[in-house]
Amino acid sequence: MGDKRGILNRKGEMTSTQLILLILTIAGFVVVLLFILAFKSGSYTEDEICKLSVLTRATSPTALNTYVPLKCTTKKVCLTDGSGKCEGALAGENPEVIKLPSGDAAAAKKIEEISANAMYDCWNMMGQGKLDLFNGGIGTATGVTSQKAVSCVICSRIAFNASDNIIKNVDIDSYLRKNKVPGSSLTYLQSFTDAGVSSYAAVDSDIMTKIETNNDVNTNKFTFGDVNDANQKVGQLAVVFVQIKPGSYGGNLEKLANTGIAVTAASFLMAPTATLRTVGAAAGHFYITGIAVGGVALYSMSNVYAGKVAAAGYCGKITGTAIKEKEGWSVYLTSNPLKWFESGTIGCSGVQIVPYDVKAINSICQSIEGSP
Amino acid sequence: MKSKRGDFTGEGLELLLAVIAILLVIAVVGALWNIFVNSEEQNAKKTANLIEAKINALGEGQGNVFLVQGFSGSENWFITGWSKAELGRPDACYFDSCVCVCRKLTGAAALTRIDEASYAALCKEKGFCRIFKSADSIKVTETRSEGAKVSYILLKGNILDINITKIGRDVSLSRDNTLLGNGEKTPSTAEQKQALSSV
Repeated sequence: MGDKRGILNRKGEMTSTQLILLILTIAGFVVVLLFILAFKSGSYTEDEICKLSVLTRATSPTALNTYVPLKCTTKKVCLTDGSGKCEGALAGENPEVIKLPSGDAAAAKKIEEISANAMYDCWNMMGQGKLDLFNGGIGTATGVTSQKAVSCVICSRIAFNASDNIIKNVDIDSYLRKNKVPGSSLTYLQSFTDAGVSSYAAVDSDIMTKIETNNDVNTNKFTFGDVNDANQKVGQLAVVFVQIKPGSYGGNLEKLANTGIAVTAASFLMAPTATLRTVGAAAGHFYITGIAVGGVALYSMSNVYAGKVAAAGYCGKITGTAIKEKEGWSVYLTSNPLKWFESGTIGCSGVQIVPYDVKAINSICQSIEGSP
Repeated sequence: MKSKRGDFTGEGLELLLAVIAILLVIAVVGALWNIFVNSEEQNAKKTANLIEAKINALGEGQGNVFLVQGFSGSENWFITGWSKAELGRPDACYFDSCVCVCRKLTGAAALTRIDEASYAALCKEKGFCRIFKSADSIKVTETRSEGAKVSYILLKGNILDINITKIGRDVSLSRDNTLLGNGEKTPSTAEQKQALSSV
């Protein structure tokens, strides 16, 4: 009865305190409703909506977060020298059309700039690789289902209506290393990793031998734009955010290593420039940052377009106890053995520019989230 | 409305507030449902629109391979189509040829719906159809390993390549799943049966 008096007075009437509480609750609901309506009505830009959904997912309880959809729509960009609007590759997709400046070198520079910015935007939008976005939800939490190994978001697709001469001059890797992010003192490469990084990871010769002699590599060889290029001279690149999850490193990276394009993902793990970084004292977490590009490019260099792919990555761990080096990783760890954690959340995130092609994308991503 | 002590009285006020609170809860839940749960449907709808745009972009006698990007839950959807003269089309196709992106059944219910007529029923239940007035025939086929041909194309969780050709007034969407070398694994017989039974 005593409890009941706390809610209602003796006459069973609502007290003014309770009424105020009720009104505040209703006001709270109204605020949430208005927020949702604003979310739906287009008051936010696509980027803001994407960021919000990323944060919402990352901060939701583990068992639920997979059910929070990533509202990230793939941006479509058409870079044209004036000879078309990428009709073949982006028909009906309302691309942002950007006219390239005249002159092969200037046009190539513009392509590099747009590609680097697309990577940077993607990286930032996805929480710089530090957010656990693909944890598998309640099924994985309860052990009922297994987690999908490699999940991706395709942040942008960049199509070209440009001559071969322009494309041949494009060197995104170099651009990332030499140029600073607008408004920042760091280069793109440093922004993806940390200020101490000034060059790409060296490629271990064993890995290159493995890649070059592996039969799968040959069968999986891709050619940039082979879907569209032959007839239409239009190629496409995709800016892909990748997150590789616990329990899947060994097998998947092994698999990824069999395809030239995806070795970039594997090469996160042999980054000689790996550094420790403290991320938030409150969280008490720390991360190992790795970066590697170039590596795969060696294989890909056989194809002039594919040689331009770029990647940046971040491998992190969110628990406090290092236990032992994972078995089966030694091939990737020869340059700089990293100690990994057996338990807790651990993952590698990366942003890559790859040909928008079934072979290239599917060799990296087992599932894609976001909106087409 | 106030007692001597300044308390609000009257069951009417409490009832009114309760009704307002319930309505607001329903509105918030509905809005969240639309944002989160409908996301898969919105993406399926986008995919249908995209396929429509790609078909319309083709000129007479042209063909091309287009990539269909997956999304969360995309494995639950399939692409199928009906020609103008075919019976049993979804109502959304009216009297025209159409291509539809429809949701397949999952779980135990899937086992009871394996005949071709059920495609239409599935598309009526949850599907997005796009009509093509200029096409007399629409053919959607997927060739699976061991030569099996099925008249629908299952969406994938990652990227799917679809060959679209337009010859005369005939549109064909096809996918050859038997070709290797594109980085994907040919499904086993068991996987194929599973896929078939769940459409």
